[in-house]
Amino acid sequence: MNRGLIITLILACIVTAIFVIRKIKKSQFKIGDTLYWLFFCLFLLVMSIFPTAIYWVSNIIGFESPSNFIFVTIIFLLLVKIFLLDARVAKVEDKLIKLVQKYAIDNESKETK
Amino acid sequence: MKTLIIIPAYNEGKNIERVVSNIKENCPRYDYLVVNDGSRDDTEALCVKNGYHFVSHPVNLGLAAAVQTGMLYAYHNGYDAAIQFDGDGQHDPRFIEKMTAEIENGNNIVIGSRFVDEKKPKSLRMLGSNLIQLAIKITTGKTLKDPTSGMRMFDKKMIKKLALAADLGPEPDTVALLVRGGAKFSEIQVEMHDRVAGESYLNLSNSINYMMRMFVSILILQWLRKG
Repeated sequence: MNRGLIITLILACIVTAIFVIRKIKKSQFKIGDTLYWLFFCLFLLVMSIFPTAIYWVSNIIGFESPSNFIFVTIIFLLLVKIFLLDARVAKVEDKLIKLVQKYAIDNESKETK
Repeated sequence: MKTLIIIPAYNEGKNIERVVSNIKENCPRYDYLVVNDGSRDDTEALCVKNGYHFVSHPVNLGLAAAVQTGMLYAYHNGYDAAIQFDGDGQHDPRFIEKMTAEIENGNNIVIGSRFVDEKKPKSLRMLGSNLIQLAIKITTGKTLKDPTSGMRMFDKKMIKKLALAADLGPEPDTVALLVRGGAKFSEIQVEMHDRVAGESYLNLSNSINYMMRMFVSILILQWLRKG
């Protein structure tokens, strides 16, 4: 893994960490959600500090280069996040519909003429 | 038999008065309920002005949720049958009585169909209808001649399902799913009118999207869902 990628990873890690910490301070994130991003940061950090570990793992699995392994891992983590978000949006939509329907029925206007 | 006519209305200010007075004139025996789905035009104002029986969504949720609100109302108020009746004047209230009789005969679902006695015209839209008919035939073994008709009446058992389930929209795949789950249906020949005012949401990309959704839902997702 070349120096450029390592520096990029460390920078990405720092930026993500700053962003997450700011969101927590403004309490715009739920604590459970920040956990994912903090682990994500940690993952980037570990990879950039111990590239030999990445060489080792990617070699075992059979990746041509360690950077490919890193890309695939990050893509996978993001896919998991999208999947969870999709499920959550569906749930929120469902709750919104139930709420609006209850509100509508509770405020029914009876026929007057 | 206590029957509710559900009229979902989204921006139907130009049609709603004609539709409701038509119902009041032709089916005074049945209750009706306008579900104003967060319209931005004067639909709600007209309902208030004319003293209609209506409920209003504060935001627009889409046709499926609007019909479901009607079903929820029917469920809470113990109706024996509920019919979806479009707010744009395409459906004809003179056929509601005949459809109610079919519910009384023990059917769970009655569909106001354009093609029981009459032949389907040959057009692109009817090709779509035929394809959905085929998909339903494959999964349920039953022939539904007008699967895309929006004029559907449901009995008490179906009302409960439609009111409480999260994903049973007023579409052919819902009918297919319910029939696969053992619901009995019948079709009644009805006339439908072209919409008089307002705009239909059916354009080419919407139609293709609709067909894709119906196909995947009826042929594939059907096996994963509970009927």
